[in-house]
Amino acid sequence: MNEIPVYKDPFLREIIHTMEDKKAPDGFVFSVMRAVEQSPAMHRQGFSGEQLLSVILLGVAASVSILFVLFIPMIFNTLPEVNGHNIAAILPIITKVFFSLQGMMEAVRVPALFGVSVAVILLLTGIDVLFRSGIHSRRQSDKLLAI
Amino acid sequence: MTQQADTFYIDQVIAGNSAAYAPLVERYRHMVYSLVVRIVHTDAVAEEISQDVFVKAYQSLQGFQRKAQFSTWLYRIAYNASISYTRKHKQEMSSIDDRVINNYSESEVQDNVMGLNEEEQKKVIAGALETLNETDRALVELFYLRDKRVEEIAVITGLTQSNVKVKLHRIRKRLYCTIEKMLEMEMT
Repeated sequence: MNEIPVYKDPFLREIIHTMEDKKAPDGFVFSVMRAVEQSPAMHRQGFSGEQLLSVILLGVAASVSILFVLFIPMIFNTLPEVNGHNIAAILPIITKVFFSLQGMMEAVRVPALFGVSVAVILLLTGIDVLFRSGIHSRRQSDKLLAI
Repeated sequence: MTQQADTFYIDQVIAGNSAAYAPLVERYRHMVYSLVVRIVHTDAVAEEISQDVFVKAYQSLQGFQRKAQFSTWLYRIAYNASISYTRKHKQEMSSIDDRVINNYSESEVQDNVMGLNEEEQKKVIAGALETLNETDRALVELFYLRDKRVEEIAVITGLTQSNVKVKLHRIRKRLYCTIEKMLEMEMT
């Protein structure tokens, strides 16, 4: 004789089956089809991993460009002895700017620069957090729908 | 009118014929609504969530990989949407203490329930189901009412098969314990 597994219960099945079926209300199909017609177009294939990486790299590149645009004029304006011909004098300053906040402050002596760099760092961090959360929810959604 | 297979309508919808989605909604509306209302309890909320489920399924149809049946996929979306709703709205159910759920005699409870008339039986079982938490109610709907296999329930809920079995066993014990308490209260 076959033994019934402990998670099965024919008695419960029988009495639960006597309960009334819950049914969708009248007009449900019409409401859904109206919502479907009004909803955004069906999702096409989303970004592939490579496309997503490209978007991230583009964002970083754009932020770095902004950083340069903001920093270079400040460096030139605050250091009058530096001109276009004296590249050797500029390079160590740029290096300092990017590798040491302390060095940057000493080299440029512009308080606003600190604010700009903090803003850029925050911007980059924000972009990173946004992308991470986007990727996470996308993965969750993909996992849910991928069967 | 002959009914086409789900895949026929799915292909039509993906090809751009959105009207071909209606037969799928017609076919699965009660199934989705029944699971959702079992989890969220309120008819109006269940209607709204069920509608959202079908809209989400429509929008994500291209992501349906056809590894499972369309109904399983829909159930999965419906289950997740309903559970998310209950978690957001923190629907707490009064649950029976695990330490006391062994204090009953199965055969005695069964005899007492069989001694009730059909209406009373329905009332007792409905009352007992109300005391379960949302995941357990979903499992009852899928396993006992829809006769889904443990493997399919695992796919729908994201639980492992062994976890589903453990939960079903625990649900069974809880239901017996609750029914016994309800019958005792009715007698006193």
